[in-house]
Amino acid sequence: MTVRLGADGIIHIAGVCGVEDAEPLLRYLLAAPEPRVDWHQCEGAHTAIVQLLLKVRPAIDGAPLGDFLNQHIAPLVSPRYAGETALFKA
Amino acid sequence: MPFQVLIVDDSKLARMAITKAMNNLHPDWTRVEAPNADDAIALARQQHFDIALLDFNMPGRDGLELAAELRALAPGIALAIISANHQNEIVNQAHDVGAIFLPKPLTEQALGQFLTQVQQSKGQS
Amino acid sequence: MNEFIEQFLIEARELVEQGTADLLAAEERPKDAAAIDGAFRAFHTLKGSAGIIDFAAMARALHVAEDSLSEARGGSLPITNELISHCLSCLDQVVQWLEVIEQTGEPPADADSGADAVVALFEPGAPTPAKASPEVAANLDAWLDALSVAKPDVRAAARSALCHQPDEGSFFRGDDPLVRIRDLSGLLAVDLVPTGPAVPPAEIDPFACHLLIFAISSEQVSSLAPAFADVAGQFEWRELAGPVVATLSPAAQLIEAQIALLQGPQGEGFDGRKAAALNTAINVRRAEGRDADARHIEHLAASDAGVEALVDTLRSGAAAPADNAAEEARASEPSAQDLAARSLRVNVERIDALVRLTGELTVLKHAIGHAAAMADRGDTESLGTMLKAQYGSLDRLVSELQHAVLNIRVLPLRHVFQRFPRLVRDMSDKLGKPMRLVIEGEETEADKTIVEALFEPLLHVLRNAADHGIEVPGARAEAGKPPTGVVILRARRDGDHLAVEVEDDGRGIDTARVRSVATERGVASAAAIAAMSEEAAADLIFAPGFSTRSEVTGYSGRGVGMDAVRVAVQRLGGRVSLHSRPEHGSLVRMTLPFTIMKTDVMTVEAGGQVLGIPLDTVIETARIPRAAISNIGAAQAFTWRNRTVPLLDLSSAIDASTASTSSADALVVIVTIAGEYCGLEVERLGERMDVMLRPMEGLLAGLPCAGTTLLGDGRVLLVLDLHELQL
Repeated sequence: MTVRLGADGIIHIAGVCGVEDAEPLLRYLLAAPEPRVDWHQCEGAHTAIVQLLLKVRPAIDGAPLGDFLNQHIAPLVSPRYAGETALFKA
Repeated sequence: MPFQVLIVDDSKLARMAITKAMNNLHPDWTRVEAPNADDAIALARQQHFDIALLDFNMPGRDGLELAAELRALAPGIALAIISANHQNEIVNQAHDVGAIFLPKPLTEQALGQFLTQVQQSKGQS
Repeated sequence: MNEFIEQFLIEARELVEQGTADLLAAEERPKDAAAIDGAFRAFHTLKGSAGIIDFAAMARALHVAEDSLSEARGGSLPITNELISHCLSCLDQVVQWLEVIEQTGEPPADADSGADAVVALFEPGAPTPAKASPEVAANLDAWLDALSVAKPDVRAAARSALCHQPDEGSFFRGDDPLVRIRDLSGLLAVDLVPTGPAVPPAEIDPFACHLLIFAISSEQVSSLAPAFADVAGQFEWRELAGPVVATLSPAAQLIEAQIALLQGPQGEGFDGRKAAALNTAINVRRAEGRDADARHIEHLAASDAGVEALVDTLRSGAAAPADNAAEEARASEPSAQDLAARSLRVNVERIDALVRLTGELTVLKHAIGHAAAMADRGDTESLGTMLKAQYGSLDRLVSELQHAVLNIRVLPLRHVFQRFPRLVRDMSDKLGKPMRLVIEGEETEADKTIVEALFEPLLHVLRNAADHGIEVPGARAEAGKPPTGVVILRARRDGDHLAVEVEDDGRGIDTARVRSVATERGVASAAAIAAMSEEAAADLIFAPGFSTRSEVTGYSGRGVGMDAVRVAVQRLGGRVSLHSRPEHGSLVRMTLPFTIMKTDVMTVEAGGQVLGIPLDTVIETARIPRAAISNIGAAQAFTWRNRTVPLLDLSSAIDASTASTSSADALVVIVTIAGEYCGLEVERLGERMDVMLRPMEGLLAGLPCAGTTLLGDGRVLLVLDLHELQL
């Protein structure tokens, strides 16, 4: 299971997440009052997954495994880097 | 009986094509050309026309609007709307103003049929 | 050529022009219903015209474009940059066909492939390398500006930038846009911006893609873009300034881009890309005048050579530049198009004026016939009075006729201006600099010859403004300017003259650089260049030999420097001046005579020859005592109104036998040439005349003359062009 809801209420994203994972992810994000995502096991994520994280902006734990995610995407979706994501607003 | 024919099209090429066909079919009929609706109306106020061949797509007023105005000026005039777009909407609107729809480019045959119809209806009236 | 084809060509050309103008207007103002209506009507009428001359392939191509425009007009299809580009491509194809018809007199038989290509453009879902809408382009500019502030080091290392807006349905098609970005070589930075309406989380559609993806890379666009050839959505690429690109000529850059295409992935659609790349390469070589190279590539393409061999050939440009002379000879022959442009559509009122004058002249002819009969009979009593009256009428009629004829030759500048919006759009795309062309005074009229001859020089000045004046968006942002550069093309009547200006809001002329380039190329001595005022230094861009770069363009296919602009304008009897404000832009002004046909001249005799001097250059005539003429070196000068004025013996200036200088006084015509006073010594003063100038032809072409006209006694009057006299 690449996207699952842990007993602790945290949403875990692991491995390589495909487009089909977007639907359960959105469901979990909507179900939690203050959604929290842990993606330190995530090697790759489809654009649809990244887009959800950008739009819903849950709290994010851990640095993802995949290099591209870690280097280029994590700063954009993680609120800790909020200062840098405000580079440009459409 | 020679008829007076008004040909309205913003393209001179199109008018030349119609004139050529008319020349083959009825060389004795009088043909008058106008490049737009305004000139056509001005001509129709000055002289009598039996038949008007109108391009649908023209800058300013289109052929349908012109047809309605010509009809108001000369109730007995026979009208044809010529368009490359064979859309039902245009065909129906043409019929609403009492005009025949002719597809563009106009063939001599299609024009001939229309003119024969006009001759018959005028001959009977 | 039959009359139908002739009329077809006239109307089709007009419709193409009108369609182009309306398409560009619709792109700029998508809500302007009149623009999209006009474009639709132009395509529709073109289609109808094609039908009349039985040119089915052209009708087919126009039909698909017309359908799309019809949907756009009805609001069911957005007016995108892509739609406009496709419609313009359709018109490009039409123009090519028109050229064939012009030459052969009939529609080309092999037009189907061209029509197929146009139809394919409009097919939905075709993986066309979509062009981005202006918003996407503007977003990229803004993002790059922000990046250069936030991460200047990253921005400095970048060679290319991309803004990609994937299609909303791209996830459904199995695309994962970020994977493409991840695999981008030389990736430096990525940014993601959600787009679309802000909705509460519960209403988010997880499978609809609403993202703007920005990325920059240390690689060139040409090596990155091919990997996206099959991705649906909008792309806006920017080549960012780097040291290597700057030294490559546009032709070399194009060739490099084709090489990159050939070396790209050989998957699906490679054959098509390869064919396109080779075609482009062939065209580039042709445009450079390297026909042998072009043929070599053609040959390799036909023999299905491997990619390696093709790349080698493209790189080396191996074959020797052959038969250049023959090429040039062919280029100098007027093309059918030039000749076609000689036909003229004239306002009916102007023709009516001529008809009326013809009538009056006929009446006068009868009257003169009557007078002749009287003279024949010896009935001479009232003959003198009668002839005098008739001469008066004739004089008036001829001057009216002259006026009427000149009016026929008058054209609005729209005639030449209307071609530029499209060309500037292409330059803007090619250079990656957003630019807007503003046209002012296009209704200004001038002589047809002048209007038509302005195209090439104006094109060059506009291209110069686009190339060197307007900055890249990043630099504009740094200078506090809006990302879109503005170029104004302006015409107005200025007394007896026509002023045509090209003004841009770019960086102005970098005089330091102009000085160094001019010195390097030996335009003048280093000392002279260093001593020049800023104004004079800027003016060096017009100097012969300043521009050595031979630009390859799709329009003229040959290089012209700004010196060619100055020469072309001077040939029309005009002047070019340049005003530059560093960091604020530059203005090139061409001042031209309103008409080149009618000139007020004063006749003089020199060296036994009757010569005309344009009256607008004459200040006055004077008798100068020989004693007041002093020798300064080999030259002569005299004092006139407290100035020292050089004196030129006109007979020696035109290489006529030197007249004896026995008379006590010199008869001098004082003229101004380019703001300087000069005295011309003549033997006799003649009269003032209003003449129609004919251009110099044949043997006379080399003389310093503006033109010729016939005198009453049948002699030819040479009218001097004082600017050409060697003082």
